[in-house]
Amino acid sequence: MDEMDLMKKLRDVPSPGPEAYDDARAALRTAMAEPVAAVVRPKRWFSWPKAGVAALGAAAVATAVVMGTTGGSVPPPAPPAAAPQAVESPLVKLASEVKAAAVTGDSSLIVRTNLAPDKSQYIWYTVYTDKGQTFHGDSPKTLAQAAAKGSDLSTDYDRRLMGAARLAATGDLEQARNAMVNGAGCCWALGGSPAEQEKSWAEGQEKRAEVFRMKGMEVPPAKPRPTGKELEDGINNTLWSNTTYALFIGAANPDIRAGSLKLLSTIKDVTIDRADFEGRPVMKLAAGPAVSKGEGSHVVTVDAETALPIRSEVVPLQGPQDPHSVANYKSSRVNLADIATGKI
Amino acid sequence: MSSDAELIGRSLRGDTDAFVEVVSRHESAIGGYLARRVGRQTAEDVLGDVWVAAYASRASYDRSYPGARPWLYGVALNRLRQHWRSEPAEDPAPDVARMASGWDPWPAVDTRVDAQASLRTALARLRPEEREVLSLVAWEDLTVAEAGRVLDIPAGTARRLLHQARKSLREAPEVAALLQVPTT
Repeated sequence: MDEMDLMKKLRDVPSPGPEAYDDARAALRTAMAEPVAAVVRPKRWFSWPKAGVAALGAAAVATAVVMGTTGGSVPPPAPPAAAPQAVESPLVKLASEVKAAAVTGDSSLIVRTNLAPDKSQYIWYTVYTDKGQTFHGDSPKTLAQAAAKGSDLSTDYDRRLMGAARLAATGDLEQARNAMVNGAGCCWALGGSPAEQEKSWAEGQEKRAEVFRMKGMEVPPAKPRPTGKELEDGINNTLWSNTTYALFIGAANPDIRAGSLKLLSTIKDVTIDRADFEGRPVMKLAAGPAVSKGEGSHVVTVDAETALPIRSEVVPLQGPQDPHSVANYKSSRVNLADIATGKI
Repeated sequence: MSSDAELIGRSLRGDTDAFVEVVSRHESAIGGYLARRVGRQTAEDVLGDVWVAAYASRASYDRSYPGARPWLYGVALNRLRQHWRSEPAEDPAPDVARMASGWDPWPAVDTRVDAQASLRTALARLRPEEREVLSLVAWEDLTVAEAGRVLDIPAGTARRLLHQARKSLREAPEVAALLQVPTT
């Protein structure tokens, strides 16, 4: 026996069921029948507002601000109302400044650098075009190849979250909040009827049970849909998760940044610290244990003047000096044609 | 029987059934690959996305290769990378815990190797590209050159990565111990 034999012992896993293959082929046939619907964004994705350059000043706010309030510790059971944004929220103030920023190029380039457990760096390049395409690469070369080949890997999930962030920037905040929470497709169905919400929750529980079955573990009893503070925390967890993801992937777009900030301002358990990071003023947004269900905290650092995300780190409760994981971000506006020819 | 390349060519001329034929030939292999990487449930969720992405990018297929399976593995891998980066919350607590941990997630692998934590430890120390080549060769029965095609790297590079991966595994004390003790 050698190391390859050991690897082969790990090969056998439960394969997708026959229905899954049928469903996948059906999805393919649908896409082939409606190719435009599968890849083209609504028209508004093509027309970002062309605003003039505005003077961006640092918001004069105190440090360690605890964000707004929902006006009560127990939200309505179904559907929970969107928390009103804090009038003096530094995030809302920053969002208004971000929206005035000018837009150049036709795409956003996001460079993410993660630290592996062995402290080595892993760099990931992604371009999101204004037309809604997504190209990935683990180097400028592979990114250029993906862009040149038209290897578009955009997903409905990305589209839903970006749309929700844009809506938050320009439209009804409560509607945008529901759209952002529902963007994951599970398990809250905000804005739906009580029956729809229960159905969505039950589907999520079944998915959870399937994970236990896959691991060969005893499946715990399905949990009832939470209520009160537990419900609020669960929804806020999803809102935080989806919104920060939208912020990371859409960072170079002012509307996405502004909308994301406004959505985050509705989570009362998000705290903000002012700090300096490599010589520039930043805001450190932290989702504490209430939002992460006691699993530590997730800290997102954004530039205090532009709201561009700089850093993301997950800090365990037991070891704040040693984050579980860290990712650094650099966002910029680019032209896809330049990317495709390797000009990064 | 028409080659995959020929079928893809026909699909580019409007014969959609031809592309479905390509999918039918390789769906079991790609489904198994996805399941090995992310588990059956998620594999079932993303399989359709893989076919749609493959169909959308079929014009880029190099038809000098008769067989499309390595190319489809590459499409599937790209879809998995997308999934790992954007994995939505299914259960609130672990979602936040995973938020920024997507440097090179191997959730399904971790699940399966829980019984062999030693091997998992050694695998985790490999470079991501080494693991990719190793898994494509060990689990998908691809040649090294085909693995390179999946990852869009030269065959020589893939060969070097596989060599490094196997050497690192062999030299890992945990794996050395496993190789000395019969495993079940």
